[in-house]
Amino acid sequence: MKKAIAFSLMTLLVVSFVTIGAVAQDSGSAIETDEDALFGSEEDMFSDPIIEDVEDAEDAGTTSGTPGTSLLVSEAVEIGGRYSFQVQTSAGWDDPTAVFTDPFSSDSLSMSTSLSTRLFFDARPDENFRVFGKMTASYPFETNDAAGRELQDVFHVEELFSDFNWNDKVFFRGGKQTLNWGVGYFYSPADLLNIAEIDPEDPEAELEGPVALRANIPLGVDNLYFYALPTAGDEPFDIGLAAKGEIVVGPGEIGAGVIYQRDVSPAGMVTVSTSFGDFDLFGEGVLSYGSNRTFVVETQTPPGLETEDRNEEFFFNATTGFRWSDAVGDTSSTVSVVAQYLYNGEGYSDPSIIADNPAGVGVLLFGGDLSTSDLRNTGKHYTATNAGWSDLFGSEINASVLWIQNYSDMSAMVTPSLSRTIVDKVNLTLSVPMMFGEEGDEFAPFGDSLSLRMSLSLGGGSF
Amino acid sequence: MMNYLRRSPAMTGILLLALTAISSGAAFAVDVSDGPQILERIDEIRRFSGDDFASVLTLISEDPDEGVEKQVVQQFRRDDDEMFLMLIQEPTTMLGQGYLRVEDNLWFYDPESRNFNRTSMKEQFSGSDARNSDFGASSYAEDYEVTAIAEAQLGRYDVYILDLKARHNEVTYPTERVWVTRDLYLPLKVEDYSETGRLMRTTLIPNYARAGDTYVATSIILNDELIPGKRTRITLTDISVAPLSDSIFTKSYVERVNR
Repeated sequence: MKKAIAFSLMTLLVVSFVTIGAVAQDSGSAIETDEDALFGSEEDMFSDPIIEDVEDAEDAGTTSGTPGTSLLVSEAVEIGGRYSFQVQTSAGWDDPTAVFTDPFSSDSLSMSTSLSTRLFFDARPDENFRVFGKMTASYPFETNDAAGRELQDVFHVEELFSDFNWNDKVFFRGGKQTLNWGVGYFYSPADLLNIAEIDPEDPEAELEGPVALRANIPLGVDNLYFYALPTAGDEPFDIGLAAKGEIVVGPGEIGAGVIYQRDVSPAGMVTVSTSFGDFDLFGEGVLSYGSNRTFVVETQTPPGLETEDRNEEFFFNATTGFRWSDAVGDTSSTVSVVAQYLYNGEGYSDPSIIADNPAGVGVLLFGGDLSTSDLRNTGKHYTATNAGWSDLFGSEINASVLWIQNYSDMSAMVTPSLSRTIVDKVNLTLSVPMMFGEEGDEFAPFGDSLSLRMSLSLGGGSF
Repeated sequence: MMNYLRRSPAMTGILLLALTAISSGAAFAVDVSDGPQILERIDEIRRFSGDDFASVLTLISEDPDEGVEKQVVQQFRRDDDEMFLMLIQEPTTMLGQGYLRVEDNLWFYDPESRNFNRTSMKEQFSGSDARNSDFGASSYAEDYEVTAIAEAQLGRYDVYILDLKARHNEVTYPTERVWVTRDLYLPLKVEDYSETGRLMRTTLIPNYARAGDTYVATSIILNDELIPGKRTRITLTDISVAPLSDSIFTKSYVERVNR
């Protein structure tokens, strides 16, 4: 009965997705487009001149202070943020064909609510001093030991830093801050400083950065950056050091950086980004001495697996990709494609060592010898592609397909989705995540499966 | 006017040339071979050579479905170095976003992810009917060639109508028709066409201001010809040609200014 009600609800919302649209309001235009009114007529020789006198143009301004510096100062502390409230329902089938043969008998049915807010403050008492902070609060507003939900999952400081400079030549940012080094979209091995990694399923999400002091020296259009990275250690040598340079070369930009920190594998990276016609191209290469990952190897003693660190060998990771977008014919619709390949030098040539030994991996995880991050991107070769089409066939529906492929175990995730704004501040997204692969593979831990997912965003937005 | 002429020998030459052309009538009738010179004049008179430029842009966009939206953008330009910076100040949902152009590179700064993503001059500017290419220095002579030219009247203005064809595929529109005043070579109206010859956008420029030796459009109306009723009006205020700090055209400045 519950499943029937849930299915009916989903059907109702799907129908509304297709039929309900924003109601156009023709309230009349305030923008004059009549050419006679704008340019006068041949007989109308004495109307307003097209060109203002130079004095008039200068007087027209109300800018106070030097252009550019007034934006760095604010008398009031600015406070703003973003609010998000989403309800998501999902129905899953272990056998993807069953969605057609027996749509009322899904193997799983779930519903979840997501409620969160992000608040920031921005204080600029003078042009050489600024303090910025950004915090989030997420529902449920309580910790839960059993579910592993800690206080930092409820309330979290994302950024807290100050900006100051020396003689307008060296610009410092000190505190907790996002530090993006990479240029990749779905994967960014060159992003060596941020604490969090890009999630290929949400590649534009903000990444959490470390506590650091950054010094930026602009050299014309090029940049030099130096970083000091305090760690949990209590000795002076525990501070990590990093440097990065960026130079603009023709229609492209090249970046290179190195990082050294005690007890962390030293690494160097190179990034390239450029444009070629309508294509934006990007690439990264990273060479590290040792890996920060813990590896799983087979052993003769129970549970058949053990872990090892590999700190005395070189690892090379690289990625390349492109972005492209264009209008669909002579319409306002646009199509866009982002595609990226990742060579993961820290991956397993044969990741079946993990897929075929779930019990052994579980023991290592439970014992703390292995972390979940060590089990991410276990393959050597990946691609990720997202193709989007806005205003599909002139409608207000946006369509996209996300495809992530692991070529080491040949598992894949394909997620087609449709989204549209039902009414102002209410967005509906329908998606069909499909997992392909053998049981235990990275993207198909339970073998092939298919889900219908519906997400309703209610009243979210920035303020 | 005389004060201005004394200050600007280059403009004096252009004005005298225009006055001579007007008084001579048909003796100075133009043809396609004059196209390159006319395009150079259009660029020259709207290009801030030796000066920096700053202004505040107010964009009012009307959309039959979305309603009316207002954006306020702080603009900085240094045409000699092919640089511009556009910082979105309003609405609050877009506060902190910015476009930085350095020569052939254009980055869009997203304050949420703190990423500088490459973007194209052809792309739509912040959801309006404007394109990123609308905010850089004029480059008609480099981008287009004149395929036809005619004399006409637009309102009370004597104009040339220029049919333009792109020299390369880096431009936003492959063909354009431009109505340009015969005296100062100021574009008053522009029609942008697609590859197939469909009219995509009409731009009307009813007002200019003279800043230094350069003329800048202070009122621009962009009509989306694909969606009836969709249009944007751009108004420039707070115009300044005061020198700008070199540090403004840097990623560091964009990061410091934005939230």
